[in-house]
Order: sequence, then C-alpha cells, then structure tokens
Amino acid sequence: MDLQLSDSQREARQAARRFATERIAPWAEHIDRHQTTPNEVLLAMRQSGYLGAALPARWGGGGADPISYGLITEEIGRVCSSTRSLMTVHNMTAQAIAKLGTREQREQWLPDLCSGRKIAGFALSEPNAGSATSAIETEAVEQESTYVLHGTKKWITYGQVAEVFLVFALCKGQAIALLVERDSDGLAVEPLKDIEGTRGSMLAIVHFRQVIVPKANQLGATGAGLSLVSNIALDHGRFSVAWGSTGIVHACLDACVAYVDKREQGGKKLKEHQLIRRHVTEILVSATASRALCYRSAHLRERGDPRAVMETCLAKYHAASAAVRAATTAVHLHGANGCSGEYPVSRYLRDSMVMSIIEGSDEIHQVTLANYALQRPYLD
Amino acid sequence: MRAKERIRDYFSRTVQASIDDDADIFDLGLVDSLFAVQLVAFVEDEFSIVAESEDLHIRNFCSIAALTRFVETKLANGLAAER
Repeated sequence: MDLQLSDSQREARQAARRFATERIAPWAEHIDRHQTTPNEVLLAMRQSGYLGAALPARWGGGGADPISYGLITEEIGRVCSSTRSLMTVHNMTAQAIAKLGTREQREQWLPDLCSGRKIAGFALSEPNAGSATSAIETEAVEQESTYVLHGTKKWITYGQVAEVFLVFALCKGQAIALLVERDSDGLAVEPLKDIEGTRGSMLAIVHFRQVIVPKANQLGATGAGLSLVSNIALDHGRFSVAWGSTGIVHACLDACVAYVDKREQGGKKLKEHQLIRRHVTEILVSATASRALCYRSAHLRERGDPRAVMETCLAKYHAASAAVRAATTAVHLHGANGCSGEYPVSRYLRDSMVMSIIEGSDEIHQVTLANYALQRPYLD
Repeated sequence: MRAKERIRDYFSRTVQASIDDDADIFDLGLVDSLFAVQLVAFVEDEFSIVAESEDLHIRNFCSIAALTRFVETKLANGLAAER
C-alpha cells in the first residue's frame, strides 16, 4: 500500500481544508447552538461539488477516489460534524442508487444528487427499530403499479431539508427500499430538537401516511431491502463516519496543542507539565492510527477487495471510539474552560458520542468484528 | 480452480462452518446480512464481473450452489458478449 498521497489527493485535501475553514468553520458554533444548518452553509455545500464528489462522473459527480473523498470528509468533519453528516447521508442514498438503481432510476436521480440540486435522506431507523433493522414496522402495500407506504421513521439526518428519501419498509413480510419524494401527499416532516451531539444535523421524524409511491421507485429487488440495499448504503455511511470521526480526533489535537502552548498554570505553560504532555501524545497517536485505518479501508475499496467491508467497520469502530476518548481528554485538558461554550471541545465530545452510535453502534461492531477476527484476515 | 471450488474456498475461510453446497447461509444464521455485501465484492473481485442492479437478488448469493450458478451465468454471458 502506497502511503504517499498523490498530487491530486493532496490538492483535494487542501481545497477541502480551505473550503471548510472559510465556508463552514465560521458557522460551526452557530450550527451547534441554534440546532440548525443555515441556508448559507447548505448553499455552500450544494455548490461546492462535495455532495457528489464520490459519485460517478458520467452522472455529474466528481468521480473522486476513496482516499480523496475520505480526506474531504475528514476536513469537513474536523470543523463541523453536523455538516459532515449531510455528506454522509446524502451519499448513502446516492451511492445505493448508483450501485443498485435501474438505468431509469440513475438517470432520474443521480444528476440532481451529484450537483446538489437535491439533497437525499436515508430513512431506515424507526421508533422501535434502531440497531435491529429487521424490526422495522413501516409497511408497503402493493396496489396495481404503486406501493402505499405507511409508517414512521425517526432520527432521519437532514430530514428537515431532504428532497428525496430512501425509505425501508416491509411488503408482505419482505424488505423493500423505495425512493420517496418529499412533496408526496401524506408525507410529513417533524423536526427533532435537543439532541446532544451533531445538533445542527436537522434531524426529523418523517411520517408516511398512505403515501403512494410508483413501483418504478423501488430500489433493488423485493427481499433485498435490508440485506443488500441498506448494507450497501450503510457501508458508505461507515466509511464516511470513520473519516469524519478522524476529523474530530484531529480537531481535538489542534485544540489541545493550541491550548497547552498558550495556557499557563503553576508558573509554567501547560505543555511543560508531564501529565499534560501524556494526554497530547495519546491524542496524537489516536489521530494517526485512525487515519491509517481509514487509508487502509480506502485503499481496499479502491481495489475492490472484499475485505474492504469489514476493514471499513474496523476503521469506523476505532475512529469513533478514538474520537470519544480524544474529546473526553480534550475537555479535561481544558479544565473548566472545556466545559464551557467558549471552546469547541465540549461540542467535539457531544458530537463524538453520536459517532459511536450511528451506522452501527460500538456494541454491534464488537460482535461483528469478532467474526472477522475468527476469519484470521491478518494472515493474508 | 473452477468457480465452485473458488467459491467453496472463500466460504470455508469466511463463514467458519462446514456448509453443504445448497445450504442457505442467511436462513441458517451462519452470517449476518453485512456478509451479502462482502459476497458481492468477492464475486466482482474474484471473477472480474460486475453485479448489476438486476443481479442483486439475495437468491443469487444465499448458497455456494446459487452463487456458482450466478457466476457461471455471468461469465458465460460475458464470453458470449465478447464473441
């Protein structure tokens, strides 16, 4: 594996860092405090090309390789996890269409999703179905050339602004996935407020009350909704969250290095206290290890190696856990300041806790990755 | 190695159980649903084929025999297209 970034990958990272610093970072605290993403940021994201950066060029996407896309995700995640989560969910749905869609579905949806003219949501979770996706209760009933969709989806990231949703439902006991337009009759969006982390990610409860969806909007085969469609989408989600979590760890490192270099206690700078130095070292190691696992995952994805699926789980699990540890350490290292809104580290901690739950909780990964370990992948 | 042997070999390395060729690995609970995505990546990588949207039925991926049929059909169609 070549650990040297190519010129285009370096340029992608630099451009994303500039964009994140200039267009997103000034809003990050506002986004967290007001629990919304302002139109200025949504517009910047739509126009940036980053929503479609990893999608195929023939549909208007950027065709970025996995490492470039990961680096872009990390840079945006470094300044604002809420905004990064927009990239995540949008791409989960868009990538599922790119892989599983019919030619007509790709032609209908991908140009708008690549250009950012439309934002996509991913509607799998329900009030009674979180990690156990097979417990979904939303129902789709066949009626001639349509499905009639009825049920409620919860925790839908950017559900408040998404223009199309990928919705999972049961039809005669078999899981199906449907693309549902926001302006469909019977679809109602209810904002969710007062979430601890990624507070600006415009979460919503989405109600489907006898929504009529053309059968032509079914993505993938009947019965493959949860096994293939949701897992292909979630695989992209985990890849994105892994890089976004790595961004949080790096943000913690940035914040801590700046703070210990400036703050004085006991007549000397914090950086001269041995236990403080230990904390900084721990975050540095976490940041480096998280990024290395993300690179490995991206490298395997680029090659189409089947191990990429589990190595992405591994990267996500490690990076999300590392983000919680790094942000906890960062808050402690900032003392009382770390518990205030004056410094961003308390936001990093709240955001990091979300990373350990979404796209497969830590506990799910602990079970899944043990199966992978038993396959002895490290012998390859 | 023939397709079936390569698929058997992959299953023996990944599923960690002795499996009959016709056994449905999902019904038997030998793997979780994430394994379906791994199988798609495996056949694309191992046999240099592309699983198109119309191929992505779980019935094509649920057993050694089903996956072998799927791969052999794709390879035969690919060869026919090349001719």
